[in-house]
Amino acid sequence: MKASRYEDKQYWLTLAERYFEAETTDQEEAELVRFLASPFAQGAEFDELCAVMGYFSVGKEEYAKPRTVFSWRKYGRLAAAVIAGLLMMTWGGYEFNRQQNLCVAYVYGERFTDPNRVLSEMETSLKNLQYEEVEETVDHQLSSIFQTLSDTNE
Amino acid sequence: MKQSIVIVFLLLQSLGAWAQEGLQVASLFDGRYKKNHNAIEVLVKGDKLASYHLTLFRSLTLKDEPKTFKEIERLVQADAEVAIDKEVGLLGQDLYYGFYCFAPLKKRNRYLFYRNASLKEGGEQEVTVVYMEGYATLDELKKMFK
Repeated sequence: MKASRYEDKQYWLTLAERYFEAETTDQEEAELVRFLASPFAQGAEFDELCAVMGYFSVGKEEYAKPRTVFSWRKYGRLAAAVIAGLLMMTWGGYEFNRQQNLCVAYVYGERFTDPNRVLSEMETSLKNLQYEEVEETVDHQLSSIFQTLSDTNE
Repeated sequence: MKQSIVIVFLLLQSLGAWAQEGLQVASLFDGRYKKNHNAIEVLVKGDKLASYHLTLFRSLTLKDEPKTFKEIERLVQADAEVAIDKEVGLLGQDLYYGFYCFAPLKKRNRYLFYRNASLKEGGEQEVTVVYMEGYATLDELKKMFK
């Protein structure tokens, strides 16, 4: 065994041949790359190997890069959630406004939302509260009191 | 996501809770008279009441149902117990009219008005109950139906 494995040129030539025959393992290919990067691979017999391995090395790096593939499923779900949220907010705002401003009348079982009609009914119900003056009720109550007193004295 | 939808839905529904809850007359406005052919029920809330200095107006006028008249009077009399101010008129033992003022809620005055026109000889066979909230004073309101 040579002191430096890199000095065994025949070993590396044999390994290069096996590389071209696609018989090398990943570990052997990695070793080849390290060898080619060393000063021991300066000879012309390794030029072709350098060129090929260099080309595939770049290709491998490109392949190893994480791909940013557009995922319709992922962004579709996100878009659906955003749309659902916007719809809910719109509905919530509409519902809140509807609850804050109501104007409806049920007249003998029939529903009215026309503001003029509803406010007219409102005015009518206020007029229904008009009452005859209190004197009449006081007279009536005094009569009741005196009647009670006379009943008691008897 | 589903929980959020349910929570938002419940919150929005709770906006329908009126301040007259806590009063006995609240049961009159639970929707039971919407289809009644002897009743007129009015609900106004918000912008339309600005000129009246009110925020909420609810009224029920019920005609030709003497049994229900007694029940309504009972509810009004029950609420009268918690009124902070009132003006009433009786005809015999029966409540002819009543104006009641309750403790303000969220700085809004609360009023209940009642009149049983059927107690007057020759009067309409009807009872009217009106509940109002807002910033109007009692005197301002009484001018509305004078």
